[in-house]
Amino acid sequence: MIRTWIKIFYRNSKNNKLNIIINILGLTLGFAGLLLVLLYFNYEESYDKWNPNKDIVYRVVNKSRSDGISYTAPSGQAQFFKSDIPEVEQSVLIGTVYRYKMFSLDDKKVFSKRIIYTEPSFFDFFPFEIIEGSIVKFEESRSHIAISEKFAKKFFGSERATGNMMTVDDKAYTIACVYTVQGNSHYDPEVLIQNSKPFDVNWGDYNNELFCKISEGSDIAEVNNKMNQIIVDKTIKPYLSRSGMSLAEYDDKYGIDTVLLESLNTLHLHNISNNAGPGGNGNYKLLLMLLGLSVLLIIISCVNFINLSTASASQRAKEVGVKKTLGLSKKQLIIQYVSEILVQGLLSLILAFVIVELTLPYFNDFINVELSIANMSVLLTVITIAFFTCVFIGLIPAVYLSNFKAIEVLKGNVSRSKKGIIVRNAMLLLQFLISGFFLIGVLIIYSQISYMVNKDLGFNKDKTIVVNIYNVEDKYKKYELIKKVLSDHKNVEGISASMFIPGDGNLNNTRINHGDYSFSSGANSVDFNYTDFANIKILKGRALSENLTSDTISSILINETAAKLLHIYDNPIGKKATIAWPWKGEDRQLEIVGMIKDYHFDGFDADIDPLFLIHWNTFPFSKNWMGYVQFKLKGDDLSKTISEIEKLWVENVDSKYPFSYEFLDKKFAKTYEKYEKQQTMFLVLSVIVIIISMLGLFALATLTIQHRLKEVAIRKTLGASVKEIIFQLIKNFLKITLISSVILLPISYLAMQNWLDSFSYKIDMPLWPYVLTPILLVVLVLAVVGFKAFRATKISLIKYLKFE
Amino acid sequence: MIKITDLVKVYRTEEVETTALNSLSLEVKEGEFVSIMGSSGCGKSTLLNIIGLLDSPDDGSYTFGGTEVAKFNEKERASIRKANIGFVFQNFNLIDELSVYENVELPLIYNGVKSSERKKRVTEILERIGIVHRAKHFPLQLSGGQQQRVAVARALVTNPKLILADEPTGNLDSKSGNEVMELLTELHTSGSTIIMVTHSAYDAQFSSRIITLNDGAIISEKVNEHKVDVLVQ
Repeated sequence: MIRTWIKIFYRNSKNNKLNIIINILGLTLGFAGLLLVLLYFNYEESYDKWNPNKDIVYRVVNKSRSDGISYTAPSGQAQFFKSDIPEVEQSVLIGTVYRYKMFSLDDKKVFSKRIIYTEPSFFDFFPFEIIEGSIVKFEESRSHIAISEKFAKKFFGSERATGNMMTVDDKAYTIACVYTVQGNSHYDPEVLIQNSKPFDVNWGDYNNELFCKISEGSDIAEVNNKMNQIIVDKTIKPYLSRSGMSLAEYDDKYGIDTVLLESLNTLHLHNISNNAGPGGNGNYKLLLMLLGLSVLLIIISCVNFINLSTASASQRAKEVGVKKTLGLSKKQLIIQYVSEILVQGLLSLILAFVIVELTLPYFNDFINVELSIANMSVLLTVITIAFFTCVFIGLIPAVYLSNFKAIEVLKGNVSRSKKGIIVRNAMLLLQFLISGFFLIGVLIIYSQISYMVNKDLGFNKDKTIVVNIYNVEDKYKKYELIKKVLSDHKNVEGISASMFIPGDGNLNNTRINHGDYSFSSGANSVDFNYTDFANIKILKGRALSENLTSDTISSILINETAAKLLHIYDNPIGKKATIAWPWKGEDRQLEIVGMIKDYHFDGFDADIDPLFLIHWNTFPFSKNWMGYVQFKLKGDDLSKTISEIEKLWVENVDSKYPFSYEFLDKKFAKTYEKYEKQQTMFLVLSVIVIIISMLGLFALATLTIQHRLKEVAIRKTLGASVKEIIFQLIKNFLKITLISSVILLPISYLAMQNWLDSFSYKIDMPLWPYVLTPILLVVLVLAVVGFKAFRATKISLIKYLKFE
Repeated sequence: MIKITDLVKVYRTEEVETTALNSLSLEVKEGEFVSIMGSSGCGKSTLLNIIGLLDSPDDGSYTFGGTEVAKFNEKERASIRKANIGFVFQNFNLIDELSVYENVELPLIYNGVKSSERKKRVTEILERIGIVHRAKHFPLQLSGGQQQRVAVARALVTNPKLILADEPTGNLDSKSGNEVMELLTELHTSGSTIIMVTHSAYDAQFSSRIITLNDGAIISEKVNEHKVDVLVQ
């Protein structure tokens, strides 16, 4: 029996090559997409899963009315949460970003961009695997450091690393242990350096991430409440007793700051604060979107499968009739048919594995991850899903076929059942819906991206390179020097410097206040010419000036948003503002001398924050906050100019650290890079989806038109013109296209509006994609079905009138 | 009305060449009811197809209503066909998805008849053949005899000059077959020209002339004097 089954299956497949190819191709792409997305999902989800403490370690994030949820916490919280709340076993403050440092040992120098500053108890929270040395040794002294195995190899090769001394910024450290990180981790540093001394109690230094170990089984909400109470007790109550204000009044006026607890287990994918930390956050929304899209892809392939097999069922009706007459039970028939589908499914699955294995390197490169197909749990999931998908899509036509009545079928009466046609139409509708959704999606994403690429950012980023200025002494003096040296360079149009630059986001926040209004604002210390250099528009007042001594003592520029929040938008000039940089024991008052037009210093998914600019000489410490020196170039041979700058840079500014630069426009482009990637992914998926849909449509049109050839012949005999016949054949497909377009419009409108809403700066929902997409669908249907229909009008009348 | 001279039709496959019509000549006058008989493969259906302008001859002349149509292309044949000829097939060839009414209406649509006029004519013809109460039914809900009556109605609705019937009773039981033959005879007496291919000598008796084909040529021709009993009854 099996042999006959294989024979019939093989010969049937040979006769229905188109169907089989479309079926297998569709399933292959569907499974491949699913596998890829699941691998990605699994990768993102694996963050911190290796960590045995993942369920008891929580990150404490701070929520305030004016600043939203910030991922940092002050040292006061670290100390009092531990000492006053019994459930908090331990707390630790860890640096928020990877620092850059040059390490030297004798003559050897290695530059690391992954350094974390922390406290001795770091390993109690993140127990990396120790390969050499010990944690006890690390905790012994604050001049002990821990390094990763990879970093150790760079210095010592295969020799022992622990016990050696290294110099960083002229300070000597002893290597206490060497570790490897067991998996994707919130922190994955090359070097752990301890803070030089324990933190003093401070309630305003939001410079670290705070992690607390909370005893197993504790009521987390209860712990959270206790933490909030401590904040009230320690920071607000003293103020209340001084001012005589009640807590309710205080809350009404300023809002009471609270904390929230984020489990380390879910931190990477479900981060709720403004920043995930050094490990970055997984784009959960994108993952869900990709997962949804890959499911849609599988649905489309399944639709093809079911449509084609039920439509071509009558071709196999006779086989079913004969088999039934010869005594095969309905169950056996179903098993045989489903087995055929499973064979096709297996083939698809193997092909999918091959495709994923081949494309994985490109995907890794594209998304910037390291996925490997050797992931048993994901493979098993995909195999299971594939199996059930195949059984499901096999069962429908199998039951349909096995329900044929032997006698009727053998007499040749396979009427096309109404139910079958309705199901097929519904499936086709679904397919058009999905294809249309992808089309609209691509068009709108494209519009938004091109809007971002072309939007006026409020500053000039052309031909500007930004150079990192690392930890060198007397930065500003060196900067003045290079400015002088390069001032008459014919291909350098201008030079300026600032603490942070557009595209970096808001790297430094400080409270600013005027009258009753106070909030946390971006704070950038800049050179006098910065607004000029970056072509930032001054709306009111003036720019900072070298010629006015007061501009290095008490002048401040604010942006429009800050002016609005301070309620002085109409008349900001001359107003006094205080910023929370204590100097000589008090907050200094500064005079607003200019209001600048809002410019995008962060990406388009963030609102423009309030921002102020001051000259770096305004405070003694801000002198050393210079982050980037910027050069505006001219002429054609930029790389020659850059190498000339590099040479002078090494001579005059910094010979220790590598000269690293970036073009400002490229750096800013990184803020919408992820959306460009979404666009590419959407585009690739759309093309695949539309190809599969159209192949399915082509095969289905072939089959349905084949069924209608007799009708075509009759109509032709009765005098129908070619146009009329083609219209008859296409009519149903067009109808389905139009119905699906009507359903499509509101669904995709909502979905795309939702996507657009994730941008603070977005296009108005364009209407043309909603017009163009139905037209495109109709054109595609006309092309695919029309081609088959036109061929159908060329049939020999006699053949179909006689023998059908 | 129809004049055929030395008509030749040859079917070629890769290996075999079959002469379906061999220098056949035939004339049919307006108002005649001609039966074409002969064994399977004698060429009678081929002849009917050529007369009905569904197929074209390889050689010879065919004038329809005074126009030479033998060399007409598909488009020209179609335009003469839809205006002048009605078909009745052995297997009815109704469109299952259309109701009785819609099936009968179809040729009028293709002939560009206005909607109000169509309604009038379809109702008229359905009444005439006594199937008006089934107008909203679909072909599969009807008996074979009823389906063939619908097919006849469809053939008649355009008032064609010529009705071609290809074994119209072949798929029917004798009672239904009789009904259809009565209908054709009735049409004949009211002036229609009918050419019918049949295997049945009984059916052939209803016609005014019987032509017998063999190997693509006419071997006998007989004028029917006998008037059918049913009519007399």
